[in-house]
Amino acid sequence: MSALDKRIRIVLADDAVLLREALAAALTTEGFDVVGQANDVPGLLALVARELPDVAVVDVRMPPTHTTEGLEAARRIRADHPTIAILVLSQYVETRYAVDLIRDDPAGVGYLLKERVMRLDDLTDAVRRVVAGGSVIDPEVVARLLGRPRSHSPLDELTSREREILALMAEGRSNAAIAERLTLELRTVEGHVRAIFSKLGLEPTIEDHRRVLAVLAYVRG
Amino acid sequence: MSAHAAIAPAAGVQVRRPPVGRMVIVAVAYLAIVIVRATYPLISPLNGIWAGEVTPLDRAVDALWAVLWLAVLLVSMARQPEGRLWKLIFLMVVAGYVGALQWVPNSVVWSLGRVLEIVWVPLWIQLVVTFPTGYFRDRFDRFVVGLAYALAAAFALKELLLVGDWWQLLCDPECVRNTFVVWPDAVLHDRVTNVIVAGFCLVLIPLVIVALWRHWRAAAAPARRTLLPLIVGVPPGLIITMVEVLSGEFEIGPGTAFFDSPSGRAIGLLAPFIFPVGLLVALVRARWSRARVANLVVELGRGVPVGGLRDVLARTLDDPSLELAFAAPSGSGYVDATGQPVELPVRDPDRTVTRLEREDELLGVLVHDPAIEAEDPGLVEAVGNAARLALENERLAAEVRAQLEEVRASRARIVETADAERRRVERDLHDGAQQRLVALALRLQVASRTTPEASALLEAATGELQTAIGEVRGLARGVHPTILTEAGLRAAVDALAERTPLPVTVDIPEKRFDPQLEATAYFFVAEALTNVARYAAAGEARVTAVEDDGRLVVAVADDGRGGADPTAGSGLRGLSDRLAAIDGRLTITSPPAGGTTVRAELPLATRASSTTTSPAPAAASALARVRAVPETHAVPRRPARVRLSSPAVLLSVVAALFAALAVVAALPGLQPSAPDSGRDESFVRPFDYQVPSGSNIRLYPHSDRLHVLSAAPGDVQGISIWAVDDVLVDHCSWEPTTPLVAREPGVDGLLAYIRSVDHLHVEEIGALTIDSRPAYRVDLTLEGNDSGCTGLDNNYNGLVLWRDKSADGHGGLIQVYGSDRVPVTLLDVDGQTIAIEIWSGGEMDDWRPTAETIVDSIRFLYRPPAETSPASPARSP
Repeated sequence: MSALDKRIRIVLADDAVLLREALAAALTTEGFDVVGQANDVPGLLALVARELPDVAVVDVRMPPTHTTEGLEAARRIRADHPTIAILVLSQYVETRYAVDLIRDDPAGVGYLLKERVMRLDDLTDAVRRVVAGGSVIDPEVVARLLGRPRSHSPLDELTSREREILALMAEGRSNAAIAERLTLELRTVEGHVRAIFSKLGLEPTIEDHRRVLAVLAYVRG
Repeated sequence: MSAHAAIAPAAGVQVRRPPVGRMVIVAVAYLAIVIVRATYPLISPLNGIWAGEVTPLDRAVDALWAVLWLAVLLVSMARQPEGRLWKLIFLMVVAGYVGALQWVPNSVVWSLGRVLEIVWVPLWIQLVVTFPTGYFRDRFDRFVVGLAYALAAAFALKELLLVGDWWQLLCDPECVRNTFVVWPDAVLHDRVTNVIVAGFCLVLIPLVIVALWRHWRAAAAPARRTLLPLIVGVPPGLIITMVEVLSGEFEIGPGTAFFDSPSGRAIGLLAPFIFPVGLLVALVRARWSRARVANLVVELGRGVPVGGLRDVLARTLDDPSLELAFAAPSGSGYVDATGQPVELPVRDPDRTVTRLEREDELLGVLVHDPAIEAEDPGLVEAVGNAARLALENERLAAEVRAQLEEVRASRARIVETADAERRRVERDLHDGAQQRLVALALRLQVASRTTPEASALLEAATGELQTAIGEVRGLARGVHPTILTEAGLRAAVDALAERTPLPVTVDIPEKRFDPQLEATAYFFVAEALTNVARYAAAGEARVTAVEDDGRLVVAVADDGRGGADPTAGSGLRGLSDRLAAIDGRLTITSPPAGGTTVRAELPLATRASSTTTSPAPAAASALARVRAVPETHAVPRRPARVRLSSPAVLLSVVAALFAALAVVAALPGLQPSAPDSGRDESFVRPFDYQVPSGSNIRLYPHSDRLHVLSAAPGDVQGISIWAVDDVLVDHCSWEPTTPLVAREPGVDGLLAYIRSVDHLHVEEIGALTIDSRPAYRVDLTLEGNDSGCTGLDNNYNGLVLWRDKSADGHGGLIQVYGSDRVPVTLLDVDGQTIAIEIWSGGEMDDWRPTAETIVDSIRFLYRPPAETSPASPARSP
């Protein structure tokens, strides 16, 4: 992933200046082009309309209520500029927000916990994935979903390897990425995926970003 | 008076004694007037001249009337010696006798008698409208009474100025006559009288009925009890009077005939009694309420449960709307028996505030219907005194409850404040500490990239930071979960369930509740689930919330070992304070080995917010106001803003229309103009016009017109039907007199001239057009075709179509024979084409139908004088 051929253009929105500047510095260091910063929703929308970046990295909490303005902003950007990817940074592990965000169109959308951005590799990986049209769901959110206790579930029938692969699917990763992560053969991963889908009774031939939805919907149950 | 005896020692009330001395004086004065009125005409020189014979029945009725009013007068004096009502009654009955001055054979006195004869009428209306207090309630009442006086003044002026010497009596040695006359004019006098009488009957009387109806609608139960006899009696009496007066004034045959008949006479005699009898009943009914004080004493003796005094007093005073309030222990405002703050009405004409005091100490405040005091002054005071001990008890109980309520409210406020504080802390943690930590971690990352030699150290620091951030996040969520504020109870409990290490089923409606309720329910569920996870050894848990009878019932049930001790120290005990702060309740069911169910019942409507706003300013003004109100007597003197409800407006409009109609009918110069241009619906829509057969038709005194029909100008032009009456002097002549053939404005058309008509029907014949114009069928049933008129009888059998020639010099008479069936015929009449089709449906006597039944139907069309042709009537077959 060379940053030289085409630098990814990023717009940042967060009302916490300290964090925003730190993010901008980190992303620039990593070879991204931070073309603008905003500290509220109107500023963000104006900036996006002007710069037409590849991706908007948006904090979920912004003025005036400091609750979930970022989600609303993300929805509006999706509506106005369907090609611009969105990565929402959140303090909340609450699975509802994540699912709400990607429910309509999971392609090019991500939901990442703020503490995840400390791992610069995770952050840059997520940015690249959403720009490439993939989906990103924070692993902790996925873990919360999969770890949710339930009485009787087909999830119980999954092997531990299959659960691992299911979690990675829920994070929005492709089969190839999963294979790389788990150091498995791609064919092995595909076999596991088929097994998982069959055990859960899901449609097996779903493209990557759609599959996130299906899996999320399933585990949220 | 046993009731008084029972109260007096306990209460020390001064019972109002009727003003006996004054009552005697008034009674004597009144009787003197009555006697003079009854006897003077017998000795008057005008006896037998001024009025007709007085029958024994008349005398008996007069006597009964006088006695009845005396009774009304005395009872009202006894009820409200200081009130205005009895004075009004006295004035009214005396004014009713002023007309008798016309028995005095002196022109000045006689004239005054004539002029003042009417004065009792507006006084009577004022009495009806202001009953039972004698005071006006609002501007509408003032308007009605004002109108009555205005009409009466007009009537008196008319008598004064217009009555000439046609009223000339005795003339021995000198004529008794109107000495003030300036413009004697009998015709004008009659017309003015017509207008005023119409105004009285068609405007004023409906307005009086509307006023009564408004009083009734606005009245609470006690006031209605007083008003009932009037409501029942007055409108029918007024309507009878209205019909009688109108019939007489406008000589409406059936009306006068009815009131001349025995039953009509009886009704006419009885109608004036309805009002005094109703008044008497109303006043005497009010009298009975005194006995209730005695019952109250008995009831209080049996003991009244705390908080039940209001109901007992409401029953005694027969006022379901009664409110009982006490001074709030905080010193400002008032509270009810349950300790809840209450607002006293300020300047509300429909509510009276009576303070019940003992030696400057306020026992309580009664808010009640003003009618209680109006109909029985002193009753509230007597009731208050009889209930003094119970009031004391109730007041103390209310004080305690109010203090409890205040404590509860302050607890609720504390919880509310604490919640707000938690929300603030949560936000600070998220937006402050956490953001800084994340930013710091990012910087460390960048640093580790740029300075590889320190990367191990920096990585370790980043790990530490990550842990710290996780802790901060957990802390913030524990303080106050954002998802609760943002997405509500269901979402927040879902999130809780996700974090709970056992399967949890959540069944909570997806809706928002009061924030305080949501917070309480959330922390309750959080605590309960923590307990389940820690102690219950449960396989699964279930969280439910259902709304039930104004409460949200939240339950957390598990299938664990049960046997939990509700009194043992658990986090739930801390929650019970929180629950209590919003009037919630906590119950724990935990049979051994049967699982545990913890249930919180939370009121959906929290009262905390209403009690947090101090009613001090409003209450202070109410207090000041109450003191200004007379202690026991609060008659609304200020005119309240009239709220005209739509039915009242409607009635007024109808009344006004009637009035306009009456004026129009009374003045012959003001005939209603012809229907506007544009097609008159009545022309094409069938309608029937019925008049009694045989008799002369006389609907309006100065007009004999029955109906006018017209269509759009230039189209079919119209027909006027004239009923011939004595106005038409020579109805047999070829040329009717002028009024008969007066042309309808804007209608250049046919005038059918007939003697009388008892059926008229006009309809469009859809299939038939003549010269591309629609044709109409006109059915006429004619009656009383007088064969005495040679002109009509000999030639034309009574049905004549007349074309006005005064308009343009054209015109003339179109004669229609009583032929059986003549096809549509175009007639050229004086240069105008007229199409006629006639047939007679009745028995025909060749050219002469019988006088009794001529049923003719006419289709006609008339073309305006656009095309002028030779001026000779031509007739095609």
